[in-house]
Amino acid sequence: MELISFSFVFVFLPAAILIYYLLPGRFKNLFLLALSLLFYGLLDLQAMLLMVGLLGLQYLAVLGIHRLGREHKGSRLLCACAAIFSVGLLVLWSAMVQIKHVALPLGMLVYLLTGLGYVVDFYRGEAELESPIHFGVMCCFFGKLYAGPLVEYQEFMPGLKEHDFSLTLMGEGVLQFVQGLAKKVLLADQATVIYTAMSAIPQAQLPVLGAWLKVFCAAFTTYFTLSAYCDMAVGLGQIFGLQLPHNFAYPFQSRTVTDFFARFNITVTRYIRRYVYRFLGYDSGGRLSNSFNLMLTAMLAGLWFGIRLSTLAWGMFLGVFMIIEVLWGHKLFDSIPPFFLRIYAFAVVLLSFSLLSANSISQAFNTVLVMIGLTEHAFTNETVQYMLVSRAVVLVACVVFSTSIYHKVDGWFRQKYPSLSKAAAVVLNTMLLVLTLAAML
Amino acid sequence: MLKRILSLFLIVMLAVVPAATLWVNPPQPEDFSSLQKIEHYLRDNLIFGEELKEVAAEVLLQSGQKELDNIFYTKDGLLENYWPARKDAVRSANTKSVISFAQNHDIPVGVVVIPTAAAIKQKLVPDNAPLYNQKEAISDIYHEMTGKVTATDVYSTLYQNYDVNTEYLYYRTGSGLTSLGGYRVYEAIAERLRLAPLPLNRYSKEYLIHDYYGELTDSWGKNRVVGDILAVYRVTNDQNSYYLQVSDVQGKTTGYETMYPLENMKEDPFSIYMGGECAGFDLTVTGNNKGRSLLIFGDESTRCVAPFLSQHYDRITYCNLENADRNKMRNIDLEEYEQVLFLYSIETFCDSQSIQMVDDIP
Repeated sequence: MELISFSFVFVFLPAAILIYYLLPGRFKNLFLLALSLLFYGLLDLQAMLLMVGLLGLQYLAVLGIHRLGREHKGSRLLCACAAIFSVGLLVLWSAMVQIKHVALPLGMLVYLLTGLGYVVDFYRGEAELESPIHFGVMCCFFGKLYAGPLVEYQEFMPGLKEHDFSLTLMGEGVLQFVQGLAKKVLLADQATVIYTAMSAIPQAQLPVLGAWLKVFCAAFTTYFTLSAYCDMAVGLGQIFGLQLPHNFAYPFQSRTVTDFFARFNITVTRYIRRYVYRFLGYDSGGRLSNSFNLMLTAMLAGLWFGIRLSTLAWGMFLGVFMIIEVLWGHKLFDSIPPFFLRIYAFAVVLLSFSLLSANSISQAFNTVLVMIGLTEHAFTNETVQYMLVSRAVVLVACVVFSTSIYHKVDGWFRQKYPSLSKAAAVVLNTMLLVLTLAAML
Repeated sequence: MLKRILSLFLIVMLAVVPAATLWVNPPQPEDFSSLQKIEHYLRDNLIFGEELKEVAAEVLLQSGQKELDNIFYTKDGLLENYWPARKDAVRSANTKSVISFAQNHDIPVGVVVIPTAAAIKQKLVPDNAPLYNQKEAISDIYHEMTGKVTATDVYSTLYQNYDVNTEYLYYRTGSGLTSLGGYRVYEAIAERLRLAPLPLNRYSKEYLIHDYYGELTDSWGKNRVVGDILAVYRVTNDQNSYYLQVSDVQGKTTGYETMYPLENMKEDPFSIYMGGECAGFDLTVTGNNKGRSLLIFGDESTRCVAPFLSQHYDRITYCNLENADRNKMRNIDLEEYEQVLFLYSIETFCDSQSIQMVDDIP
């Protein structure tokens, strides 16, 4: 079952909502788990069985720790084994993706890391023993399997235990889902078309403007795809009375690279801070130790996109700037106007996407050389001009919706014309749904 | 309050749309046999689906975008932008197969590679839109075949003849050649094979369908393009009689006393051209007395050219290697024919490996 399909939107989802709200409260979580397994099973039965097996092992580790007691040495060993097994499996599978070109099962990163987080939290005494149903829903709720967000026990479990139902919340969920769907279909997919067209130009002929467009669209594609899936997950969560965290906060208007990490893939950065950075002792050590910790955090954030040299380099590249900012940047950045800080951060982030989107470091390096005009490449060509002219509206929309411009205009409008803004919201969201469905056809 | 109304509206929409779709376009039991079929059913039958396509098309056009799913919207209908799927590898292997066929058999071999509408109507394509250089690709193919196979350049013929107002060479809503396009290809082939083509005024035109909408409207919708006309050309005062035997993809054979069977026109409009999509056909022409027979290896483009070639041969056999049975292929007796013609669109020639099946012919 694909999330972006008519069969999901018009068959699976309405049927699931209807059954969910007709069921008595005590069966709702069991139904959510069954629904998630059904969703995954319809997509890939083998991957679903693998997920059940892996989560089963993690849950067994939790039961083992519970039986032995947290202070017992065996519990520490069990926790370490769960961590090594989960991370090792991810690394191994990613290596297989690179070497044997097998696909990484959908959501493996999300459910394994969520499950591991719970094992660690339970070992630390920061989580209670939950039923397999609660654990299962937390790890594999179908809405978040595609791209997260990564949920933490403390924030997710209360909502799961006491479902918060209201028509308003459910409606907000539907709205959030529709907006996420629109973001994916109308922005991410369109940016991908431009990116693909630019990538099809041989590197030796890539014009300067084409290189810029390629990297811009790589950034937009990554951001809109991830944030769209996360928006849909948050929306689906709200529909079923669950609270999932938001994962993005306009990362392209960050003032520093450190700020970018606080706004981009927020739950992943938070996860790394909680389970890795904290393990390393936060920034309590000396400059060298802090630098190492920051670099490791940035590199791990890069590996979220796949274990490849280019994703590692993406993290390292941003890590270098983060270290400079944290260790030496305070005084300097305080004296620079926010506008220029944003330009600095955006330029660094944009350059970093040449690494994330490249097949190799050398390709990324060449793209950057083309971008800054250090090659003999032409400034533009027909393909670039065609894309710029024919997709101008898409590009403008990508810029507007990747920043808080629309949010601010909407806020101002709501304050100035409260009644009109509500009516406009009804019309706009209906139009958005119609356009999205039209584009899906 | 309004937020609740909107919420209710959207939730109701999620339930009403599929229910209305089921009501208006009742599904067949097989539409629910798999998840993929459910998806196809909803996509094809979604209530207000055509209107939604119109909305999408209008928004795109208003935003300055004239390309959707690789199909251009132009003043002369829709044009599919063709790019070979696998670079030059398939094209090169197919070229070699044709050359080795010509070298291994003692029979004159001709080859025709037909460009797509996007190349011929390239002036209508939006400025700077990247197009595959079909002219160069066809030249390269012919260049490799020089001295071994008689190649006919129909690119120049079609390009020079095309006129948006008078020369209806390609369908506006589909990707194939029209009957007139077929005639222009025939004219070029006939001249190259020294066959003295019949002038166009020797034919009478019969319009059979006036509002045909081809596969390209799946993306752009039907409302903003003019439907296609399916016409057939018959030689005035034709004294010949024809017997057409068509083998369908499953191997079933059907006979017709005409080149343009109209029996299945309602279900498959293109069946009027030599019986529709098939594995092959055998056309026997009585009254020509030319003493010549032609074997054509080709794709769907052949069906609009073959009726014109029928004036020069007593027998034309067409074999669509894409649908042909490999065992039957081996039984082809080349001694029954005086000429062999490879008649392919550039899409098939560059992307389909089926042409290499001729290597099996003894």
